[in-house]
Amino acid sequence: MGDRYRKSLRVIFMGFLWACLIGIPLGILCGVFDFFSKLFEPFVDFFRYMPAPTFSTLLVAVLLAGDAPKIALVFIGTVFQMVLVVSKTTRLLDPSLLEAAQTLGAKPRQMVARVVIPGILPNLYNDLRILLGWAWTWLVIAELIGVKSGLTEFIETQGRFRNFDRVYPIIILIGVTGFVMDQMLSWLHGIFFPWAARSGPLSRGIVTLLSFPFRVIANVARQRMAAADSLSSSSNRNANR
Amino acid sequence: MNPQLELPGYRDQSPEVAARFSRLRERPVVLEVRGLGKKFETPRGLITALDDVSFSVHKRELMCVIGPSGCGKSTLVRILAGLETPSAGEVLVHGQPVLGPGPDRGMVFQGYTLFPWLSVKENVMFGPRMAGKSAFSAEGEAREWIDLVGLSKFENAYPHQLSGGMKQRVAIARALANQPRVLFMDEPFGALDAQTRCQMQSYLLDIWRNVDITIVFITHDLDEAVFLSDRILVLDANPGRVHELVEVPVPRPRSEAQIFEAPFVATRKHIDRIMHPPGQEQKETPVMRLAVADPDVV
Ligand SMILES: Nc1ncnc2c1ncn2[C@@H]1O[C@H](COP(=O)(O)OP(=O)(O)OP(=O)(O)O)[C@@H](O)[C@H]1O
Ligand SMILES: [Mg+2]
Repeated sequence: MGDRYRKSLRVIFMGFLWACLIGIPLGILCGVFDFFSKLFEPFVDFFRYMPAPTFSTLLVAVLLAGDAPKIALVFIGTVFQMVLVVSKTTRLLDPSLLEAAQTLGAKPRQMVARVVIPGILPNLYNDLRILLGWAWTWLVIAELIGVKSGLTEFIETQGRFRNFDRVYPIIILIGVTGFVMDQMLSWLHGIFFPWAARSGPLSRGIVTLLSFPFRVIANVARQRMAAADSLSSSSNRNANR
Repeated sequence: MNPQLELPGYRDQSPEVAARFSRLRERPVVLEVRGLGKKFETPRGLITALDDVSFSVHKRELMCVIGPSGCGKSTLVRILAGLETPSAGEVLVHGQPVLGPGPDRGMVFQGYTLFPWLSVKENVMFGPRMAGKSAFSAEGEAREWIDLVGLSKFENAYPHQLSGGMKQRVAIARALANQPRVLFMDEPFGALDAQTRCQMQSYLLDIWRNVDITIVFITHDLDEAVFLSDRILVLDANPGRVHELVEVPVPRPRSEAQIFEAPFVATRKHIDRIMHPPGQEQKETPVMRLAVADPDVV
């Protein structure tokens, strides 16, 4: 089981990493330079509306079995959203900071490196947290294409044998993993960006909203465990009597 | 009339004041503005923000630009800094036309525009670093400028840990670190409370005395303008035009005690008259009310 867990994590991280490597620079370029925005955004917008799973057969055909098509699916599912979200975040940067930098003699390339990127970093970080949540959805679909694998394959096969009691823990495991990761990243935000401590009740709100399903699942799990505990303890007591 | 209010006309200059301004006009021109105009295209038509504005600022002068809200002060200073293109006319700095923002013209904005991710020292180092100086020499320079604005203790603080007045002092240090020929300030103290504001004005005069810098200072506060400047450019609204270039007779060095002396009060009164001409005070108060219904109809 640990093996499957690791495999699932690997797929989601590789897919997400590739999406970041391509999506963030493109998003920033689109946000800063009109030229790139006009070049890429219509195209990205078009691809965004094609559901990623429709590419699955194609991906399997081209990239064959193994993890590659799965990573590619997570990548495709995430990258287009990422370009748009990052370009929007970039445009939200206070324009007076750019003006100030120019009156201090910054040239366009220096502005991107010294003002735009550090300026949007805290918001970008929150964007990535939200997008990582989405990536988990794509992971589940990705694991169903080609040769099934990872946690989802386990859920699928066990579900077919109606072994639901083995399915629940896995669903909960996925939920808890996502939730714990998000909480950790949220906590790290304060450490990475102390100067943005008062940034974004909005982004915090969005994160709360998006993590809601995970928290519900975690809650249900907790209740079930508690119920199971009390059941077993009461049965124990009965046995002792 | 109350005899106590009989003040000398602000132009009743003593010979030494007249000599001071003729000396000022002999200094080299740092900033020359010729026939500047600016029109904005808006959905409701063309707005003329500035119309035929011409003036020149001499070396080491501190000039204030004053005018009612919306007369185009910010637009003017943004054009001077190169952040906006004029529709007509030209701006020359040391004879060179201004074609865009550049490090030879510093700017302090009304809002706080320090880079929040950089410490005070790093903010001040920004300009020299952009100019290609090494981190070491930029740091040394930054320390001196921070010392000049009296914030040495805070050099490692981040902007969100500073008060409004401190932030603007850092902003001044950051602009000065580039050693610009002219420093533009667009209502830099507008967001501060009255007391901090007074302190900041004194600070600015101290800095200006110690540094070889020409300043164009935008404000809508009469006292601030008279207290700080050598000359005051008074703008009309709609469209923004130069009404008068007032020479301030108040001697330097300035101190707060001068606010109650005759030259100060007379100058203040003179500009107040320009900005609020007598006879216009009785305008209807602009309070919105609902239309009164016709009783026959309703
Ligand atoms: N980008 C713009 N687009 C359209 N109109 C503008 C723009 N910027 C300024 N204006 C108009 O130009 C006029 C002058 O504006 P400006 O901001 O320069 O005034 P101001 O003197 O600085 O006012 P305040 O004292 O309130 O700061 C105003 O009528 C304003 O509506
Ligand atoms: Mg203004």
